[in-house]
Amino acid sequence: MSFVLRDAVPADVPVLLGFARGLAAHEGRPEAVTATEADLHAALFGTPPRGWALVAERDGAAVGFAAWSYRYVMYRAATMLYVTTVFVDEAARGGGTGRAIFGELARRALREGCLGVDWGVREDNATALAFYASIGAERRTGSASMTLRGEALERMAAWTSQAELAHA
Amino acid sequence: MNTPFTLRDATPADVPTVTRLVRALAEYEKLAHEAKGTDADFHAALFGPTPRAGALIAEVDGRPVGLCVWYRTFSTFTARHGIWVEDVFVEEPYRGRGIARAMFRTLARRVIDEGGARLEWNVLDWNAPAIAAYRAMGARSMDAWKIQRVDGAALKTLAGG
Repeated sequence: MSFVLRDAVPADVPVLLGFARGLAAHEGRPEAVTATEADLHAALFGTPPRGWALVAERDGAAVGFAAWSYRYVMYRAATMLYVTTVFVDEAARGGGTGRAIFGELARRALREGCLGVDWGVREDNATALAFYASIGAERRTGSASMTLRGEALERMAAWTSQAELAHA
Repeated sequence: MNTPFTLRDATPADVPTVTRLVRALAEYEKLAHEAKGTDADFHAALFGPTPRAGALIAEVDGRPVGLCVWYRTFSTFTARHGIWVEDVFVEEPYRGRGIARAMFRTLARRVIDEGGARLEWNVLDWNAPAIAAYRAMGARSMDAWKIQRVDGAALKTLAGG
């Protein structure tokens, strides 16, 4: 079994949009996805790009993705990698793909000089909240945003996805 | 009558002004202990090889009196970007003459011109004058993303007395 995390390429757009629709349906708001393939292509691969994405593949088939942009916290003079979407196909869940994706995002954040990785989570998503706690994320007081910083960020970046997944 | 103000995009020469106004805002927001950015940090963020943010400077009689820092956000579901207003600060003697409103208007126009969909920002919940001004501007609160709590007497009421 092979597992790969790689930057999204234009040919991934239909699959990414399908995953986004799957996620919106899972969240009970299928109407939330209004993007067309052309929109997503322009956003990820236009000049300048407005978002970035990576794809998780098992045995050559896409099983998940993450998309992100960057936020700048002025008073701290710090850039945060802000994850807008993470999705793992239902058939591939429970195999460490989500953890591997966050590990890759953490490595990328450190490489790019970001202070941390932030994302939002719905308050009622208990499964997600438990998973995020398990990877060292904190809930920022007074908001439903999650953040990975400092040691937790380093730990996540050190996650060796392939080795772990070989045992999964 | 108030002297008119002008708004323009910051240039590298404005970096010391940016640092000064960011610190002034941090004082106002009671976050001064967290305001650690230096001129070098802000120069890199605004004008480095990978800019992370943009800044507007408000001037009265050629003197900088206000700052607005912003950056672009992204939505996977809509594949359209937005502008996030990170900081707005106007020095106290120059408030109440529409400078902040003009900053929001400038960014609203910018995001529309770029084909984006949203202008968004945070406000500290104790800042009632700002919240009132934002409502007047047509902003809505993203209440779905706030923590709710029921405790004390309200909890007993909810539990049925």
